[in-house]
Amino acid sequence: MDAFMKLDSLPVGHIGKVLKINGDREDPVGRRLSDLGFLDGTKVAVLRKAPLGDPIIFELRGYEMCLRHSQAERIDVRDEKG
Amino acid sequence: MSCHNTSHASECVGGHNVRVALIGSPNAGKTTIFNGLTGYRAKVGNYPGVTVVQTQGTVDISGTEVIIEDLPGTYSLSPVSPDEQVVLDSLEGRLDEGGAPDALMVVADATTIERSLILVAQVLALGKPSLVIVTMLDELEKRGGYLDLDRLQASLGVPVVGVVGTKKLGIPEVKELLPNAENWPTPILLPPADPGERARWIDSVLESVLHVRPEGHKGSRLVDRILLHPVFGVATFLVVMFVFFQVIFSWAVPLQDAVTAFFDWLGDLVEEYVPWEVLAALLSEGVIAGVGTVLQFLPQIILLFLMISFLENIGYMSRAAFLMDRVMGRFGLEGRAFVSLLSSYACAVPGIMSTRTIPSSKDRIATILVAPLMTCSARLPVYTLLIAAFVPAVSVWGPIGSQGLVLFGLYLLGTFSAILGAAFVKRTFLKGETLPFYMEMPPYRIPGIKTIVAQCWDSSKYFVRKAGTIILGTSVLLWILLHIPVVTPPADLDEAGQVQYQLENSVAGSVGRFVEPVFNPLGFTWEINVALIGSLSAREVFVSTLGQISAAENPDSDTSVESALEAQTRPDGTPVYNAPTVAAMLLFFVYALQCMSTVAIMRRETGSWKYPIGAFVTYFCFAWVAAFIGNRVVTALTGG
Repeated sequence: MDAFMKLDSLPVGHIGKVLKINGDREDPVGRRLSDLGFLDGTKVAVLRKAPLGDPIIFELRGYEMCLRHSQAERIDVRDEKG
Repeated sequence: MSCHNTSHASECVGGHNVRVALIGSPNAGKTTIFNGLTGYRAKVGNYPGVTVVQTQGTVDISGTEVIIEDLPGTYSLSPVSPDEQVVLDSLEGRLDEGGAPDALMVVADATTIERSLILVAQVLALGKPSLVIVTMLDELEKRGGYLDLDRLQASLGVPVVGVVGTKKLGIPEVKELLPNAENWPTPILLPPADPGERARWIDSVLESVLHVRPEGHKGSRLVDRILLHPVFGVATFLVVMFVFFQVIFSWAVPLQDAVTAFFDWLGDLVEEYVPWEVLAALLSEGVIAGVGTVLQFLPQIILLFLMISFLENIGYMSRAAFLMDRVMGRFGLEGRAFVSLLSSYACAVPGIMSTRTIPSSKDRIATILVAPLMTCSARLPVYTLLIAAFVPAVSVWGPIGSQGLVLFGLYLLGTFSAILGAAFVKRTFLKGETLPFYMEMPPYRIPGIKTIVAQCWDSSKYFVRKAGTIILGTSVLLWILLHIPVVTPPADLDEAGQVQYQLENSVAGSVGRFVEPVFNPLGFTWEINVALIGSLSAREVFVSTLGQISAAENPDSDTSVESALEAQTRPDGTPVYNAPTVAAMLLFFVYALQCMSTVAIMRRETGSWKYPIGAFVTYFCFAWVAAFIGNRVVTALTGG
């Protein structure tokens, strides 16, 4: 069964497929997230979290990007495990 | 070349110039390309009204003047902040100066082409003559990836050039194309603007160029497993910080001593062989002592910059920023501000310059404002002199001595003040702005020695230049002001008394005495005031000025500045440098912004006088209050 969740709660080691960016897509955060490559259908792997849990490093589109929880929670993903 | 196009024929009469903007995401190799094209001849300025730095370089290629405008590295052209808005405005010619560029060059990293195409799409969508430069092709191949440049050119509809920066491949091709930039094609079919459609456009381009995604950086992953580990990562981070400070505190000392010895020797030589006494004194006390005071810190500065440049280029600074982000977030800053503040331990100038990597304008200004509070190496001569001379060397606990503890305390005080200051400005007049936090983790790279040496030299240059200009100038000026006008001291004074009389009645002495009401509450004498005023240009001047005055007043004591200071007395016979006064001086130096280079760089990086002047005045008041409190507390403690 597919699991829908927010990107920031996807466990380390899992891969998620971007479903959509929540909220106003035209607001600065939403726009920037899609410009960074979090586009619909993009596969995002959770690589690791900082010692205090925040920020998180993701791998997508062949590069590594680090986001804080508050940004990652804007992104809905489908958990596709490892 | 471009004169073949009849529509531009009029421009060809009497010289022709083309303006080309260079766009690319951070880490894509944009700077290498800019330097390769312009040969490092860049003019740095600010865009009007914001803190974004504008870099321009001009090259003459077969009779055409090509102006290359290096735009700040960005992942996107859809602005989310005033800084990015101004970049877009300049691309679209809404800023007055020079109008819109005639053509655009966009740099795309081959190893991250899946992401780079997003920016390429946005640039092409502007509908201007464009050129795509693909970098990192060698790394793409090494990691088993593939991409066909000819097919990329066909599918984008604009020229594509592959460049390998380290081998200078492709740069000549770009140069050949540049004079004709206005006639580069624009894509017939503009890439879509909607994010969903853009994703499909990228997929189709990737498919047509036979793209094979390169393997992940296995080595980097492995290293990160240790360096970003909750326990080992933090431990490594602490070790790195320890080594960093170890270099400041002890490893550089032998080199420093060597430089000091050299300048002492030079000074003695001048005094011995320069026949005219006044000139000999000016040269040895003014020029050599002044410049030597600064240059003795050059070994330390070079070592520090080498370390910073190495950590930066190898990719560790992003990791340090990642580890520290949460902590910095508490104070309203982000991880990258940590790196800037760390550099400021060496010198606030490169620290402030490194804030360019921080995307948020408000974070950047907050970091710039507090960077001068970090204990830079220019404070070290003042601290070490005063501590060595006036803090009794007693063992507090095992090998930990009182002198080291005081120095450490001053570092901590500066650092905490900086962080709290940042938290304060971010909660008050720099409030607001919800810019998302994002930071790329570049793969670890073994940096080229040339790059590191070049960067290190770039930063150290500031220091040498400062020694040669500001400090030399101030030092010579102070020496002269301490010796004019020549007065005739009363005949009944002994030799030392006569020198004292001359100094007191010199121009500098008069100024020092004039400001006594301001500094008396801190326990400062006019001699200290003179040195303090001199040190507003650069902190190191303080030591050389005090040295000049006390050596002149106490010709009997041996040559060291320390013993000369210890011998100084107030009119009532008590020593000038008592505990409350020394405490006040140390605290004054923790806060005061005594550095014209820093003021100048603050002006350049913020594009306004508002911040440097505000910071100068605020920190002066802080310094005075802290020194006053320090003086009173120590007086009470020592039962004075």
